[in-house]
Amino acid sequence: MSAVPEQRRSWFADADFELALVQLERERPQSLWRAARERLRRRASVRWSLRFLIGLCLLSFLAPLLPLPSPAAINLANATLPPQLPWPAPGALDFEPQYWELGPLDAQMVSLRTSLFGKWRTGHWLGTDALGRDVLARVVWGSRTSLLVALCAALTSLVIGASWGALAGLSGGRVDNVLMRIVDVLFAVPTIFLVIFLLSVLDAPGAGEARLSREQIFFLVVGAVSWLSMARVVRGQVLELERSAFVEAARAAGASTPWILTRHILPNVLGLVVVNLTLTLPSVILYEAFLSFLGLGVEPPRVSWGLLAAEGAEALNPLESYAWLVLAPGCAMAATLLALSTLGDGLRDALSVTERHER
Amino acid sequence: MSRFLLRRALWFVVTTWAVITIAFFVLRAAPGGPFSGERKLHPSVEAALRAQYHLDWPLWKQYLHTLGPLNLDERGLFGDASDVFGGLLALDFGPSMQHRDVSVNDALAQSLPISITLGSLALGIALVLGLGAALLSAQFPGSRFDRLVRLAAAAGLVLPNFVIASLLVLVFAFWIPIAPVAGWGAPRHVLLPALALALPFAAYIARLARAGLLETLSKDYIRTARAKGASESAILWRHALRGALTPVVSYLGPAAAGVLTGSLVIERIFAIPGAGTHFVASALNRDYTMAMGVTVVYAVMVFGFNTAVDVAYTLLDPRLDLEREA
Amino acid sequence: MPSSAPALRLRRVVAALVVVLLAATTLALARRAGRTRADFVFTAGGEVKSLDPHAATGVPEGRVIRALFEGLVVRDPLTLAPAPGCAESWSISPDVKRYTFTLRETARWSNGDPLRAEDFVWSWTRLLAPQTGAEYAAQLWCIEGARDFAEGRAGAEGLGLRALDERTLEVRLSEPQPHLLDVLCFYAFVPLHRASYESVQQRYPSTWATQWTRPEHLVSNGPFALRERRINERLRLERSPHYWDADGVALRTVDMLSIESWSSALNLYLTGEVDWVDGAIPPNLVPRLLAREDFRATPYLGIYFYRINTTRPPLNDPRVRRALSRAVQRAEITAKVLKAGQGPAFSFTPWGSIGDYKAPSLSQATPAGADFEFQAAKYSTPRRRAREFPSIEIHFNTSETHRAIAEVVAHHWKQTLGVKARLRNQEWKAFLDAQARLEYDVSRSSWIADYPDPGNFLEIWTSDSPNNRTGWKNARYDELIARARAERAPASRWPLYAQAEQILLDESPCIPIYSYVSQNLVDPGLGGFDDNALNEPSLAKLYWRDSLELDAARKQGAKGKKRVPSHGPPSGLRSPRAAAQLLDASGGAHGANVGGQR
Repeated sequence: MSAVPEQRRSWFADADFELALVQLERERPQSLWRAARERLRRRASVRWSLRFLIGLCLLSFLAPLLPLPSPAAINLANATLPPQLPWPAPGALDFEPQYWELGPLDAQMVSLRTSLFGKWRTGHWLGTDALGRDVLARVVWGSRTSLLVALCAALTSLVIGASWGALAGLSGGRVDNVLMRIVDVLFAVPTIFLVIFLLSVLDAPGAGEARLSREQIFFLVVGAVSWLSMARVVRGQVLELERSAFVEAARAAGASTPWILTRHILPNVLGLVVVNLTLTLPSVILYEAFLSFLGLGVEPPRVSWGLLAAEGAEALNPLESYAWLVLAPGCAMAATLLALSTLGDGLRDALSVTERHER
Repeated sequence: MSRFLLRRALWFVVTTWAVITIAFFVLRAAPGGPFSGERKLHPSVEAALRAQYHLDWPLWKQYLHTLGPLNLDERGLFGDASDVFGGLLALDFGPSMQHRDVSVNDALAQSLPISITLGSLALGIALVLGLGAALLSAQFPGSRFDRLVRLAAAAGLVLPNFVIASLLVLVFAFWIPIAPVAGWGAPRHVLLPALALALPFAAYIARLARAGLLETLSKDYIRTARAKGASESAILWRHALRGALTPVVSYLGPAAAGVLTGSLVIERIFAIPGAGTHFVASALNRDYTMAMGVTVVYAVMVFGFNTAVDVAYTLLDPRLDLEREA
Repeated sequence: MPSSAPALRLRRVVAALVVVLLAATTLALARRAGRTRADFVFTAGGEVKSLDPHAATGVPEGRVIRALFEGLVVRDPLTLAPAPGCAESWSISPDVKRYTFTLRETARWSNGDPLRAEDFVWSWTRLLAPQTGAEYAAQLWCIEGARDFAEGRAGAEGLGLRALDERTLEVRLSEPQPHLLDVLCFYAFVPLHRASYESVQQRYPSTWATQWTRPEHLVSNGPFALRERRINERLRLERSPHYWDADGVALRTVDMLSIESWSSALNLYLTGEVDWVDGAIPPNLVPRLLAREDFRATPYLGIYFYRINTTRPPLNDPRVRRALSRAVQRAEITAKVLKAGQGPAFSFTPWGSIGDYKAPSLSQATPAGADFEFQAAKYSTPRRRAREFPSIEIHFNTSETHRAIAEVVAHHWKQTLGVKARLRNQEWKAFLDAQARLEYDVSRSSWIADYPDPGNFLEIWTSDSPNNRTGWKNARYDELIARARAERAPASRWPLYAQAEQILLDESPCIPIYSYVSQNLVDPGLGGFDDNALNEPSLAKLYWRDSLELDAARKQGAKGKKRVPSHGPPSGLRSPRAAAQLLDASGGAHGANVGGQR
């Protein structure tokens, strides 16, 4: 995003004022990015999505600081409590830090939390699960895994996928052929084979203390399968741009390759990459849910939205529905994915790029 | 065109070989074997079983054996025919290692038609719903209606399919009992699973098609058509839809391969004996022969659909030249 | 401007595609719509591993194989004692080394052929043959020459199996085997039909192994015959008219559905499409189900336990292992996690007893007892524990319930001993692999009885047992088990088993956690469904009660249970014999319900 010029106003500015500004700016020639930003800013849904996503990221990052019950604290006496009425229910003074092995930063935050709030914790606002664990706490902590998985997929998509596709598109000829056939082959291997291979081989107990945690393996797995479509999309776009009139014109005018790359191709591809990312992230979060459904998800007592949704869906039946068990993670997921796709739609409309060459 | 298809066929052979090789080694490298169980087999029994399926051979020999109708027994390359495998080249995948009295060919022959039936129905529903929503919302872009349609379309993409499927069962089989809860065999069994399978795709198609429509509608030739006095609906249906179909088709290629080979989640929740189960079960059970079977099926499907997509491109956009693309 | 020719072509292609797809869909579905509902439909988890009795293992496989085939002896569904099957009588030599069976004269195969003693000789020879790879073959190694034959050291000639005449089978054993009859009730020891098997072999020289169990080829001797098999969908069985007791079988058709997901099975049951479901019920639902008249939770001969890797310090110290075992508060797990009436297990023998055998019990299974043990093992102060005691990994295969139990056990260890526990789940095959290689600290396991005998459980802990998988070895234990095996009278075997089990508890290579219950949802209208500790009701004895009998049964049954409607035929469905008896008893006034339609 280095191509974006310094921003003068915040995303959260007043809409009418902005509209007027946009009208003004219309008068002058604009770069693709500037125009796109203006169009984006005019859409309330995009603004709200962005606010929601930023809020969610903050919330999940700061989860250890919040006065929630521990997501792993089992209390069988409180099993499957429905959301407490009156809502929000008063908290209690029985907080005990029970977590899995946390990183140093998280551990710091937990100790800060105990000094801030002491033993006070919030009530079971969203009810409890079969082992009496607080659903709200689990949803908040679960967002960390799901968002991290998404982030990781985004990074691999960007680093491996985009550069793979760009390399193929730019070099053309034999290199392009070889690179894209590799992608074809990987596309045709059933993903579940790769997942099981990676999970079981990297999780081999023989590796001792050095072995990766399930979560890290998980990120690897998701990354390994999520960059393929990005590579295809980027290659297609690069190919199209190379053939486009303005690049040919630039070449004819004697522009150097680096100049063409940075001035013409990169900005155009970046838009597509960003849009594609907002499409990849939801599918990755859903893929995590699928793996949790199969029981190949994160390692307990850690949680993820997929795991919570899988548990919740299992509890859906005509005899006795623990609706909150599926509603809580379901709504969290739905809101996040909706926000991501709204953002993606907005970006796409703003940059008016299509996925014509995604295949 | 025929040169294109010929080159494709060549690539197909190479790609399939590579996919099979990867799948073969990846699965063998995973710990555990087809015959491990809660009760450990007696060593002599396990040895007998492994010998029966040639798992006692060195890996390269197993690999060659899996690939082709080669008889690599001590009786020599052209030994007798009393072998358990035919080999992939003979399109005989041998007996399943998990279900020892079922051949992989039989299992696939029984389950694939079911997955294809369900999958094609789901694709049909997805296309109708998705394109319909896109056409409606593209007619009034930015309107409240557009937003509503887009929100509804997005709903299929924001929840895991097992949640959607469980909810569908609860609502349409128990609260409003209009469909059976699960099972397979009668036309009424298809409704809910096909819908559950279709919803995410419908959502995706709606988004792609809407974006495509909007882009095409801003193109010069549409303006020309408008200027010539063509009606709005004619413009939408005759001209814009074709433009909008390109991204949909390019998405549908790989998606169709996935849908038609079955979805484990839908099959499990609706108790449907489709092929999707075999994909996951063969990997989880280390059912090496079944895994090879589903790998080949999947590779063929993916490749076939990608080729179909490329052919469809030329129909949609005559400017594209397949000879050059290949 | 795009030309219209390709557009037209496209439209035609798409239209043709849609028509073809729709036609295919309709055809595919219409072809199968003709099937009627079976008299009785049940589910038993996923697809059976095999219908070949020698290749099959597992509970669902047992259900269908016992319906298709019948062994020499069968288990009485009420007492579980061996009762005549296709053998009408037998005699045992005084030294318990020779059994002689006499087959029923009326025993027939499903194609009408008479069942002969020779069939058993051939079938068991196939079972023992090394190339068959039968898991249960080792249980017949007590037959003379069997082990040598099975391990390829000798031919089949030396086997102690002989058909004295058409109806008399003689089995000679190499060592006294007092509970051979119990063993023979198991489904692996049923006879196979040689002629049909060999003709399939001839017709399909390379693929016979996947051909002979197909409905068109399989010939069986049990109450039912195989009519249809659709993989991952259903097995359709039909009453065999040639079965010697065909008159006593009520159900004309039986469907066994393979359904992986328990909630789908439950949904099918609730809508009346399935009549019997058993399985791992999500504990959340159990309280609700326990209130219903159609839910039966019966003690089951299975034990859920943790293995401890005795080769890894500090777990190589029996005191540490004992402390870990005592710290697990089993009652809390059974009452609050599982809820269906599972028994807290303080011995490795489930429910603390099998028949007359009374197992010793783990002493001082309390937090205080655990702590005492732990202190003795020199982990006295909390600081020492934190510093010196490494965190323990609980290893289990992926499943909701296993995870819940592991989390609670970890919680108990933390609370009582201050021991930190991590959880590690693996998918099934990787899990088994790691367990077999002893790459774990504490690993989840379970064991289900094949026949009701404590030896069935205790024998897995001998040094050379492939199912030991803890690295634990105890010579005294091995000796006690070997001695018990050779004793004929139960009364003299029980003390030996009790001594052995006491050693097991003292050394604690395992932590027994709970004893299983079988959890069945059975349509209330179904009669002849006998609960037993192996959860093996006999399909041949099932029938549908008419409304009168159902009312009477409900009056007798447990009070205060919520009534649920029966989906069975209102007029019931009885075996021809029972219907005739009913007709006699009521002097013809009471309508006979042989042909009751659903």
